[in-house]
Amino acid sequence: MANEIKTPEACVEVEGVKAQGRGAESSSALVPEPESDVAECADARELSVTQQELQEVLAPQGPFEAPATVMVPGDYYAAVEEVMPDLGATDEAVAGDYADPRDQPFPMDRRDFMKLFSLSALAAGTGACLPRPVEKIIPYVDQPVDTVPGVAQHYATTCGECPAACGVVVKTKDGRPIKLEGSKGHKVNESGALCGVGQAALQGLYHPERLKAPQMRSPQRWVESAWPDVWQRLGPLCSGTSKVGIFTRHLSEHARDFYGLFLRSLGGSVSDLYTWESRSLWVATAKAHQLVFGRWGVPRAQLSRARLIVGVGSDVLETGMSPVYHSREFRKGVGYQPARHPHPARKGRFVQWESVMSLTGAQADQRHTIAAGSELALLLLLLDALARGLESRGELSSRSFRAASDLLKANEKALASHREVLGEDKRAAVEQLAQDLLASRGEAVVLAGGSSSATQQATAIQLVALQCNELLGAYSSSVLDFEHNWIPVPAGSDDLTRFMSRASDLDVLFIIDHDPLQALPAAWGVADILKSVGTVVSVQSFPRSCEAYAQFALPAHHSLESWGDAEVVKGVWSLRQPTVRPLTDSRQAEDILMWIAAAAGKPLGYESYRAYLWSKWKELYQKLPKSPGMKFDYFIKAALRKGWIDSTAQGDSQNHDHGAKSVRRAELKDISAQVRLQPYLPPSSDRHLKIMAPYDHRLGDGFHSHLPVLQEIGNPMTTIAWDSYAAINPYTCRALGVKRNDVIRVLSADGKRSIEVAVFPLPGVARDAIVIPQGGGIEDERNTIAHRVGINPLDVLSRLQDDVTGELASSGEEVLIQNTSRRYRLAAMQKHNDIANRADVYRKVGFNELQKKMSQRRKPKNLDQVPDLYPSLDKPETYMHFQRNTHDPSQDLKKSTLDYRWGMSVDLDRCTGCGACMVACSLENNVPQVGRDQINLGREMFWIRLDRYFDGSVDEPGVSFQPVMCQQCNHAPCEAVCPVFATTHDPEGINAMTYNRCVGTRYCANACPYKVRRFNWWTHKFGVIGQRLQDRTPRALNPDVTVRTRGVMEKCNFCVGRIRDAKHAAQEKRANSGQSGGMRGADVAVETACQQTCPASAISFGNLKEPSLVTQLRRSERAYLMLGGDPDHGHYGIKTLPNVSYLAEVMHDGKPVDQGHHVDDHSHGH
Amino acid sequence: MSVVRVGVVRVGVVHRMQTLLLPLFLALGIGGAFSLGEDDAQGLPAFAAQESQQVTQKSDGHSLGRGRLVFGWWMWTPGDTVDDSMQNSVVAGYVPDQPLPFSHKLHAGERQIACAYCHSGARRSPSAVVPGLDTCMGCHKVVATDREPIKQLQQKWQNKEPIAWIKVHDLPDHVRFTHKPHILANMSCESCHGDVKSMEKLGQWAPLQMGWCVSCHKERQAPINCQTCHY
Repeated sequence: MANEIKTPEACVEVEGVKAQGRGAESSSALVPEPESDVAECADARELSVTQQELQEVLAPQGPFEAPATVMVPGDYYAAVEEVMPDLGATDEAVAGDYADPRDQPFPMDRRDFMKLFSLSALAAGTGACLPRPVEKIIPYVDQPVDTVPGVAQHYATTCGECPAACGVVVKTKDGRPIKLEGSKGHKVNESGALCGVGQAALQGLYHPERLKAPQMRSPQRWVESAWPDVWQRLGPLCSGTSKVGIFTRHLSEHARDFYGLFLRSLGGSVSDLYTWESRSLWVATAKAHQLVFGRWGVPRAQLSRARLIVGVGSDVLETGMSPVYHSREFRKGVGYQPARHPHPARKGRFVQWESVMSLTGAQADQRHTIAAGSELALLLLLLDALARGLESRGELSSRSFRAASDLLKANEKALASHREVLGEDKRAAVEQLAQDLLASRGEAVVLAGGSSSATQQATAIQLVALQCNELLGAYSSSVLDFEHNWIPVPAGSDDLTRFMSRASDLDVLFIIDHDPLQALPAAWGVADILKSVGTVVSVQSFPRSCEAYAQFALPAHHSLESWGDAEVVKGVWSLRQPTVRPLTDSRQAEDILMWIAAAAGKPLGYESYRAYLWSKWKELYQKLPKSPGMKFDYFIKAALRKGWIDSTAQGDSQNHDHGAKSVRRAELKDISAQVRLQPYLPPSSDRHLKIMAPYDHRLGDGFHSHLPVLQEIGNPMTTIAWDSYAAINPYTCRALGVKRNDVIRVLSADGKRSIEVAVFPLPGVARDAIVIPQGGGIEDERNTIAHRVGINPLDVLSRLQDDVTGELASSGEEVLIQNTSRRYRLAAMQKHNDIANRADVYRKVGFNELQKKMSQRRKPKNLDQVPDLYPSLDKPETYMHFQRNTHDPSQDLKKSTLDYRWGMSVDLDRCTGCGACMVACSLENNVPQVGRDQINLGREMFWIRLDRYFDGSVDEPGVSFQPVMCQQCNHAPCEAVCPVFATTHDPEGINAMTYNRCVGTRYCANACPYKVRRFNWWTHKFGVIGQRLQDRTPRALNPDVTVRTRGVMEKCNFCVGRIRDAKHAAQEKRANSGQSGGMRGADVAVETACQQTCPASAISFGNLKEPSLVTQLRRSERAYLMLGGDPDHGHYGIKTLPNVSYLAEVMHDGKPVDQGHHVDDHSHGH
Repeated sequence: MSVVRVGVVRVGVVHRMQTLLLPLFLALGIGGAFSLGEDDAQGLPAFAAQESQQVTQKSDGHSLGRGRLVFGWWMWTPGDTVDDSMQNSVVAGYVPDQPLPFSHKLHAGERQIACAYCHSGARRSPSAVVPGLDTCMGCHKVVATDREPIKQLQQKWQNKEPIAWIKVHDLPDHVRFTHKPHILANMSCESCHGDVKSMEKLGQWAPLQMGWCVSCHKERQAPINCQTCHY
């Protein structure tokens, strides 16, 4: 090679020679002659260094990602490459990695740097003399009564992000919402939890790309216009004989009536109202119950009453109908429950059969991977085994047995092929499972179907599952309660098919807060339908891609700005009220319809949608048993204050015997007409796989893709953020000859449609499946966050429909995989912040082993007794030494700060890995979203991260999630290394970070064994990082937390602002009640953001100086400190003594022990 | 010897070039300062903020400070974290002109209106609260209506136009000061704000710098760990 780079060694040699030659000639620093060897060599050295640096930056795994081939001690693997190194990504200087030019290697040489540096120093000197900036205080003109600027106000409302409709309390400060929290006691999210999507609604509200004003299309472009013009144009369009239709999401019964009223008043009928959700589970389940019980609705599974749950392709904990409700119920039912007199400790069992690797499956005690699309077959086998079992016990009527055997007979041929694929072991497992189910009749339930198993047989799956549950007595034991605890689904079974067949005849189609173009496969031809509609009016709270075909784009209120309601369970109504004055010139969608009707000359007769809602609530109010003299005004104010009402007759629900375990005799219905099992189709070739395009639990069908925080948290299972990926079984990857980050082309069966996507080998996926979640591939320049992020897997599907309901089927179609030579770097965070010694990071304990340990324990567990050179933590002198000279130390003891030592406990048995904590933390603490390119450089900013570990076989792995936040060490390695004392220890046990002291040496991040410190490489503000708009308009920030700028280290601080607020509140309470002496430890009730939102109540927080729950949990047998060794046996790990303790996950280890002894493992009730 | 000569020439050239390019470099440095300002969370270049006396509203995202001209552009040095109090050439004794000549001496001194009558938030809120116009109008609908400033006040009230007061006690954005606990701990307003009753025009009396805060916290045995005020 001509321009070969010389090695540094060669340079040294040459330089040595030259130095000799130069001798004592001159000692001044002279520039050598250009023609000499030395000059060339010096340049070469510089070049070689630069090359090396370049390589470091471009290295495949970078400095933040340990090489995948290095095995880590412990049973867990964080990436499949640790067990199958050949799948690792190797040569990864992939194009597009540095989309942000500022990420390029430093573009300046040292000399230029010095010049500029000295000059900026000069400029700094000038700047220091400038007068201070002027700030202004602009008070109210007319200060509202009950408003104190700076004091938060809370509004109860209803989340509008999904049909589950959790109750929400919105914290507003100076008129703007700053945080959403669940409403305690609400019938959906009783503990006050909220999922990540609900938390992120705040970003939707403040999204800078929301339409500012209505827009009308002139032939080529959008023209901003005013509302009166809209009425003037749209009114005539909707009047006369024109046919008007509405396409929207699921509505409450009241809203549905309203839309019906609108359509009728314009001369149409309610049959032109199409309400549709991508989650076909709603309609499939409701349809199955209609077919069998004759009632349209969905029972809300009370999993807390179940001890054995069998899931078949179930997504109940993530994308199911009400994930927050079910997460809590699930944990109460089958999670580990410590002994509480007189009940012994227990741990239920959850068995999942699925062909994707879902978060729900990750929680299974036994998880079976089955071939793609064999959920129905498995359920039929289970039904068969159950029917036989009951028959042999003589507990099944011959009619029912005949119904079951008819069903099997009708599908026998197809079933045979599935039996074969399933294999001997799995068949035996099904038989065994049926035995176990029968043994726990009345406490057992089968949950089937979800977005991953939304095949053509989605309704058939529900039907068979329903029959299984009927045999198990789930309907009579009120695990599934179709009398009292059910959700009326306010949608028809055929809305989608009606829409497809009738929409093109419409003259005006309103699309309200929905995007059929994104949510339905291209093969359904929605674009053509929209083209053939006379006028498409898109009424959206955020611009959607369907607006490409619309003539009107009207800004609708965000759900936090609107009125509305929802019937969350039969008889329980949740009310939605505005929590902020509209931020843009938007209108409530229903009000828009009202104005249009009025402009068309057919006014609806209501002043506003609120007035309409009030009339509906008046009807509710009249039905309610109430104390005499209670006026409607009082009633509605009370309802607004609380956020929801329970209109079921009080007596009725209480008289219902929830505890009854009596199982009535099941009578099976003949459903063989609806259940048509397809025989198992072996793949056409070894390059054919079955595609599954599940609804993503963060982004949905793309409806939430514009929320940066949801893009940023990544899918917890794959840890991939800001992208779509194809999850394929690692062995299949090997067979296909692809590894992580290889781009493949996925072709539809007929070869007409294709998508390209990067591969992520994911353990636990069926070998014949390829899983690509929805939510990507939005093409819309008005949606900067989601524009061209990932791909939409629906693009490759043909028009598949549910056999019974005609709903969208997004799974099970065969696709052809073609390799490309290209590679694309997915922003996977699985190996970022990796802790090497996994043996001491995540712990599991067997149930029996745990009981044994507890019974053998002599003295209480004490994690804090770590031998140390330094004085004990509890002695005030440790912290008060600087005051001792001036004060009597005995006085220090009385100091209020010594009443506290803040601690946290994370129950790994409860965590479901949903990621809500990450979202809540980001929004509470103004943690920025950094985008894909920065994540690829290992610069994600989360204060709490979710580590995901696999263990066991690659085909059927165990999956563990572990939230890791700052462990708040009492002997913190980070504190010792900080040269400027920016991180210090708080007397209350918090490892404090003082941003304004930080000079950004990053020593602390290097010292931290838990890798929880985050460095601000940029000032993440309202600009663009990595070409993505940052959703950080100043209004969306929490004003109670400092915004960090570039060059500052940050990390979890136990939400110290909330602690401070709680203390001040306690102080105020005491002062108001005339007590003196500040506050005491127990006065202060504080919840951190992550704890507050956790749907599974996995996080506890409190004062370790009080006998609080967290104190009890810290002494629990399951408690351990991360990297903290085993203090019982004299091993203390790295002795950092964190204030965060973890509770080990409880596993099944053989048969349940004799439950005679009641060892009290400190109750864990929330 | 030729080496030396060449060297001298070169050094000379470089020296002369530096002289020639000095204005350019200066401009570069200032330009750098501007881009530093823009990178800052407040979004206003430092000079622009000062020269145009722009409103930089604190309530919009509390950043660590606003634009400043320090070393931090190229290195991750304290540049981005130095607070604006270090820029304050005026510390105590800052007496700005207000849009209306409100006299604390008259209201609090002669008329003996209690502080909390207007600053009603002090006991309940982080902010003591500058009262809304409605509070002023509570009296000034009838009191002193013939005076020029009161006429202006009434004009503003009729136009529903708020008054943009100049902030006097302005702490850096990374200090999370809260009035509530101080008032609840029976601190008098005067201990930080001085003898407001005698001030015709309100000015900053105390230095409001960290050493001053800490000395009082020590004296009264209030917490002095960093996170008390910085988080």
